[in-house]
Amino acid sequence: MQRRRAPVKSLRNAYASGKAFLMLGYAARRIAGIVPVLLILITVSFFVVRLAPGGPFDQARPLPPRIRAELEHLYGLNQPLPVQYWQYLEGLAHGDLGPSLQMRDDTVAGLIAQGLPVSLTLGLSALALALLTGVPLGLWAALGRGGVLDRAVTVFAAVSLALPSFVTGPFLALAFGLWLHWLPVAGWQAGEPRYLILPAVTLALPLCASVARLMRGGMLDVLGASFVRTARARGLGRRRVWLRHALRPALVPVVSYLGPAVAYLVTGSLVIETVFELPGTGRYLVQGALNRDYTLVMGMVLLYGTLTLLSNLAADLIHAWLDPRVRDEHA
Amino acid sequence: MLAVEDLRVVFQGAEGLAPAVDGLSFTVRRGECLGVVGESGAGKSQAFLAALGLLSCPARVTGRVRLGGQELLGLPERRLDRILGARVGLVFQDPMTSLTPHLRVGDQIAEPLRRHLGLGAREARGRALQLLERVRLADAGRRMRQYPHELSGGMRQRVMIAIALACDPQLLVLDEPTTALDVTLQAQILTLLADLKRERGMAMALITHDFGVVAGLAERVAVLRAGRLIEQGSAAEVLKAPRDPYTRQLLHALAGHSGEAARVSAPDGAALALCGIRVSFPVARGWRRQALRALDAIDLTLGAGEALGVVGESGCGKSTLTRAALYLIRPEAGTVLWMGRSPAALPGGQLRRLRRELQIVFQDPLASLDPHLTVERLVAEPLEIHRPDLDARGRLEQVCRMLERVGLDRTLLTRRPHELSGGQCQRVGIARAMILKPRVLVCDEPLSALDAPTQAQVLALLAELRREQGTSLLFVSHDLSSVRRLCDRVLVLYLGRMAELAPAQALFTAPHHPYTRELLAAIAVADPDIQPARLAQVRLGEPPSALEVPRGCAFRMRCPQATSLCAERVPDWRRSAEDRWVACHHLRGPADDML
Repeated sequence: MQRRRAPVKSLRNAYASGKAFLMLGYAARRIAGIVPVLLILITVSFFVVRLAPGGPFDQARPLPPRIRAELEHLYGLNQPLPVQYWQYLEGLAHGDLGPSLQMRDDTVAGLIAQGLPVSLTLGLSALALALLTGVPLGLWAALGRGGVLDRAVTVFAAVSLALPSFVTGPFLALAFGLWLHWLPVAGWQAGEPRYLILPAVTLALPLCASVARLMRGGMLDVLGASFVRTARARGLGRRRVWLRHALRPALVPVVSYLGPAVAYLVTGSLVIETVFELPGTGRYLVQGALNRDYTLVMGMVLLYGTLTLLSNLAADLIHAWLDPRVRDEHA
Repeated sequence: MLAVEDLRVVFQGAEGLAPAVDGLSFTVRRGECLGVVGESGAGKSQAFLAALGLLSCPARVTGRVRLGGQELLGLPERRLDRILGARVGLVFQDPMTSLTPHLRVGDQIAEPLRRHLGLGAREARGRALQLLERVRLADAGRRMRQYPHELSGGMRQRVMIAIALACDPQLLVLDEPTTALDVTLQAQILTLLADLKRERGMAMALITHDFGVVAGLAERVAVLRAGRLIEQGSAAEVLKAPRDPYTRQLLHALAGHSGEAARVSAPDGAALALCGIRVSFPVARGWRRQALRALDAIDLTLGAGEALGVVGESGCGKSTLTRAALYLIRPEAGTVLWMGRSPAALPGGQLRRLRRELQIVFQDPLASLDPHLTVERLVAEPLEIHRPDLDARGRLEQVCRMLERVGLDRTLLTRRPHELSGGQCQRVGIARAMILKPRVLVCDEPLSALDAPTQAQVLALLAELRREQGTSLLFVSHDLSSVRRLCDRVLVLYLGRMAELAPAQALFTAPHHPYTRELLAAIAVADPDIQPARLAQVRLGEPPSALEVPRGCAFRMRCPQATSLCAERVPDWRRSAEDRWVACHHLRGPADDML
């Protein structure tokens, strides 16, 4: 008997690795596909930003014309647009995002390098928090459908989605910072997770609500599916049916939401970073746009564009991992 | 083995209405198969699901359900879980959705083995493999590692049966186990079930709406209607000498009257002609693109007033044929002619005007009607497009006349599709197609979503409309008996190619092509004296993927008469007798027809 089974096992591995290889090819194709999308994004935003009225050196008190001309010459802004565009692309190819036109001591890459760790920590912890709380909440709500917990989750989700974060943020700061003195009200110190908690919770709250609702809906759909009934008819017991048969397909809506969720985190972090005075990248997007800091805006667009595309790719790959039918479509 | 007494099921929220199951009592004895028959909504499935605690909606279940002396109703879920899958195995209708999509087939079979028998992973896998071999799944070792979507419908149903058999249950409950399958596959699955019953001596409950399915397996039959038991007795009694008028009605709907459809007019001038039609679909396989040849070398004429049936297993290109005939998909090669004119050569406006002469009735009556529109709007829509001369009143008048014609009441005018029954929806579909008095009506599996009695009514309606208006019918179905009743001539398709074309009567009494013979042998006959013997002769086999059509004759892999010639050359389409055409190297002579 032992001998008979061995070839079966190796066959299984060969079969699985063949599929895995095809999936790798799919991922590579998708990553390659990101480049042209980014190029379109760069091109459109490059010209739109420059065609908008006003420039980086327009101020309430106009600069003397000679200094202005000098500055424009220094940053190459006196060249024709196509030339500027080409130069920008050339810089990008070497990993150079250019100097900031407003904060003239810094390069755009330098600014991002300073701010990104903070923003990324904030965004990822908010995402993790939202998934770790939203998925179980949605599951509980679905399994106890119509019960107290289900109603509580529904109300919680509605309230968290309705409250804007510039209301919840200061409220949480007031409650946990000023009244209870548990957590710092605002600010940031590297290596001090205490400063992260309030902003991450504020940012995660609406996300958690969305995830919980999607999870609840997904689970209810799957629980009505025919294969769940078949699994129960095998006498597997509720817990096993839920976790092994129903959970994975029920996660699909949540996973599809990952792309939009990252887009939300990006815009949400603008507000949160302002409310909690975090030295992240969010403020650069606002400042850059207001000041017509062309290179800074471009740098931020590129950064957030890449993040969004990568998160969409991640969502698709996770979807393929969850569902073998999707895997076969791609492979 | 299973004794059900006075079972009542009332769904929550429907307390005021009649219970779904109302005072049902029956027994299933050891080694015996009980056939439970009734229309959809009769409470057949609900009764068994309720008895086993598997209802998906909250309901009040009362009565007594004893399995081998143990009361099941009111048993806590944990104890029930120890019975389900171990002492009772269940097989459900739709093999497409009844297996967990993200788990490998082998793991799904191993699950109950590990849970109920406490086997280790290796032992369980070994047993699972044996089970798959027992249910005659070809290439079982490889199938173990595959996911359900990689298997065909017939294979999945074998897997379902393997899972249900895993722990050697005392009772096997089969809920419409073959309804979603082709005739040939249905026959194969029924043969397997008959074998298993003989071999293991377990009790079986076979829930179905089809008396033919019951006839081959069941010793006793119970007929249900609206949650109540109408009649119960031995299979021979119930099927051959039914006492209750309702049973008689169900049986009559199935049997019908054949050979009644006489040709209305001689086929002078073809209403529809297809010459050398080929249709391919591009299929992406990783980096490569491949052409799936759905139809090849189709030559066909539909005479004025003629009813032509098209039959074959799923995937043989029947539906594609209807789309190509209506020029809804452009054939890759060949020409379509409508009343002698080629739609390909017509400018857009004229093409649209000519389309009014060719209408279609679809398979799924509910899904093919716009859910937002009322019956009135649905039936009036073709008039709005093709009869701009009519005003609102004229349209309404015509709509009312048409509704009356298809047997729908005027009061339904303001209803929307979801408020209608399946049969009513299909009547709306027919009214919509017939209101323009088309010369050709194409029906794509118009009956497959309907109950047997409703099927008979819709079939009669189609025959009447055809007789009155002289419409030509292109009637596509996998149900051979309805084709036999309605059609003058029948085309048999196999893997996108024509296998045989013959007058209906001749085809059904003396098939020429071996594939036709196999199809006819697979029909389930509602006669307990004949059906078991017919099942014993069913041959195994499924059509290969349309992406891997064998060289030479496409049918040779399944053909008992195949020789080396079949592997070399595609058989010609040739005349085998007056009015009969066949594509087979081993053409049977007229002498064999006498057999």
